[in-house]
Amino acid sequence: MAVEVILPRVDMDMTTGKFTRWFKNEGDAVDRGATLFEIETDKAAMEIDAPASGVLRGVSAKPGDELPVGSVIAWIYAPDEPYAGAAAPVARPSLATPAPAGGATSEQRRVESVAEAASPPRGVRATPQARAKARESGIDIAAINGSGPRGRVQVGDVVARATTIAAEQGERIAQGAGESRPVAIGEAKAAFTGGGAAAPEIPAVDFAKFGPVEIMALSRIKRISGPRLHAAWVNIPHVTHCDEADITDLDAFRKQLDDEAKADKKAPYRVSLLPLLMKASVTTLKEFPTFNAALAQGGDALILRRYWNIGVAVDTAEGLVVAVVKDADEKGVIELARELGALSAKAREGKLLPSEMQGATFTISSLGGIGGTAFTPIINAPEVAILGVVRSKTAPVWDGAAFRPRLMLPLCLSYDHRAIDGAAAARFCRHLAQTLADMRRALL
Amino acid sequence: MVAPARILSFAEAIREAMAIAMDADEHVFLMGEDIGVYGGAFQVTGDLVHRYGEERVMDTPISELGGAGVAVGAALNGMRPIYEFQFSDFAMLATEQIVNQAAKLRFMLGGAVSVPVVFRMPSGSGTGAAAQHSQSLQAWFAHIPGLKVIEPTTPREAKGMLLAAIADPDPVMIFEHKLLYKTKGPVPEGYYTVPLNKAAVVRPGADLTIVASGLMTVRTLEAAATLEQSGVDAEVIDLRSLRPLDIGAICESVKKTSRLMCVYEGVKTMGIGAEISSAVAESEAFDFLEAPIIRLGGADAPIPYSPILEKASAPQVADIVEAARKLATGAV
Repeated sequence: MAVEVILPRVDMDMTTGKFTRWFKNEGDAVDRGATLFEIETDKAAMEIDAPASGVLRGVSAKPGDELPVGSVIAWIYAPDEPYAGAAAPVARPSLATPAPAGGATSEQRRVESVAEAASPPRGVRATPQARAKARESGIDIAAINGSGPRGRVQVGDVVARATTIAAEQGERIAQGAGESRPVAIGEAKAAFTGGGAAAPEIPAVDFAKFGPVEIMALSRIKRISGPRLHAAWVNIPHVTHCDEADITDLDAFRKQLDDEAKADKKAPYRVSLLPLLMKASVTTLKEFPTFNAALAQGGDALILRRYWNIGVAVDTAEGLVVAVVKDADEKGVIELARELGALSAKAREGKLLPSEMQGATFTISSLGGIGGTAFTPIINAPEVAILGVVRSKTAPVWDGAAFRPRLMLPLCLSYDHRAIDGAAAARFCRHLAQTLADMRRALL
Repeated sequence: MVAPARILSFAEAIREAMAIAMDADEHVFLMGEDIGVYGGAFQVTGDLVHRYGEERVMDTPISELGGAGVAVGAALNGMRPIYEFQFSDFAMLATEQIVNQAAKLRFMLGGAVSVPVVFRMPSGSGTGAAAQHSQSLQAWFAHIPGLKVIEPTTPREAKGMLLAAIADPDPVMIFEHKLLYKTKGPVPEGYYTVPLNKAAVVRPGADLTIVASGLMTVRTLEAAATLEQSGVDAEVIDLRSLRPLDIGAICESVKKTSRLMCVYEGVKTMGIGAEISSAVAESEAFDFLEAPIIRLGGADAPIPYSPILEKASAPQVADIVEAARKLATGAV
């Protein structure tokens, strides 16, 4: 019997995935376990293996398609199994039914076109409880994208659909009321003075007019991270506060740890400044819990997170990724150093799992290995602060009697001004600088 | 006031039940291979031959068909025999007496007689006794109208259910997992019974329902404790009786949790779990299901002698944890 090839859920909160490429073509022989296709979630790109051996048939997903989890995107037939062309069996076909009166979203339309291309619909995957709920609420279960395994409609999907329908109806009523109301010219002007984030577009330019050009595709990571950085940049009122920390003693200690780490007989590793920065940051974050928070939806509350997962920006050949060290407050510097080494290596190989890139409560971006005197890091939303550090340098510091050569580390803290005030940011940086100057404070 | 319970082993609790029944009713007597001076293959009858004599604790020849036939005949004539199969696997030699006579005679004779016999069935794998001495054949006998098939889990239930079985007017087969004989627990003094038709919710939970019996209930409870640590709250139902099956209790639980898993040591195919899952699918609980019903049964293979393979052929705690976690987290 033919085996479905489905768009899998690779991440707990994933509902759709972007299909990016096939490694095999229609009619090719495939082996179970061999890489068959690639998808992108909003966090990562993943290669997916063939679920069975046989011949690839009924390929319906095309690069760029955004599909719900569980969509059937092809079939694997046994080599001798008859294949009736486009009339392949289909198990998850519900989306070809007409969209509800409110009009289909663009995503639904895309999905429908894919389902139609695959073959005629037959049946809907849904749990008994979801069916009972749909019957009860008068909802057409065939119009629902299931979030369960293989696109199965779960009761939660039916409840969500009912809520959406209710909201759409409410909106239509509100819009209907607005349409018939004439707007006076003076009123329109008064309404406009508030402004908004409707940014004017940057006009397109034909660069070839001015000289030879070459097109270089953005890397996968850049294509994913770009819109997220943009969203953070335009939605969050960023302020960057700068300070510096005396790390003369800390760096001496770090060198000592690093020498021991390199000499480790079983599994040598390295100790950079980062694990120490993480440790100091956790100490300061515990003192200033609003920096470990996220803004609640609606912006009227802060969600204080009682865990300390530190994101670390890692530079890879493909672009910037943030690896997350979980429960950094429970780990010592050596454990942090080892874990960071392992995560960075995975990041550079493009092997980070979605779970290793999410759940951060605070992020550190270090350019210390390269250089610079200061920069304005973009907050890794939905966090409310990010610490940027650049290269430390020896500078003369007045100790009350004389100038002493001290190793100074510039700190650049970008914060969300909706959640954090300037004075709090200044105090946060002072506390962090004092902790770095004397790590014994992390024991307090 | 109820006397405080003592701690007894499962085997001691069964022995105590038989002694209490023999003290109370002179019609009660025991039959079986090596149950006298030797004390039984699993030392369940123990010293009873010395306390009640060879007429009431009767060693039988190595003929299960003959022994069971005598027991059924004695029951027809007003006695209350308890026949011990040395290994429940040997009950196959006596199926004519159990299935065709004991289970049928009340019906064949228009209710004029009853057959109050108890068959004790030491069962299950895990003792290195290989394919012919390790089976879990509950489903075979649960298929027969006219029989009652029970499987206690704790020493307290073993005593109370055996006393209820002895008092019951119809044939009862009591499955005793061999690995439970040495397990211990509180057992009340004196005479009491535990009903033969009621399942028990032994651990309330919200995320999924796991149905098991006997040793599998013990393993499931252990698995539930592990699952709790990772945030999965399992409701555990101990069947206690396989015929009649308390489907009502299971359905009530499924309506609450929406997810059902059956754990049983008998071979998965055509097993207890098949009956439970189809009974639930036919019931009003169907509309409450949010995932397929999962059966975690014994391997479709004769129990191997190799200890590693023997272990792999029956559900272990880790298997239950894994399957339950998948079911509860929506991975199936």
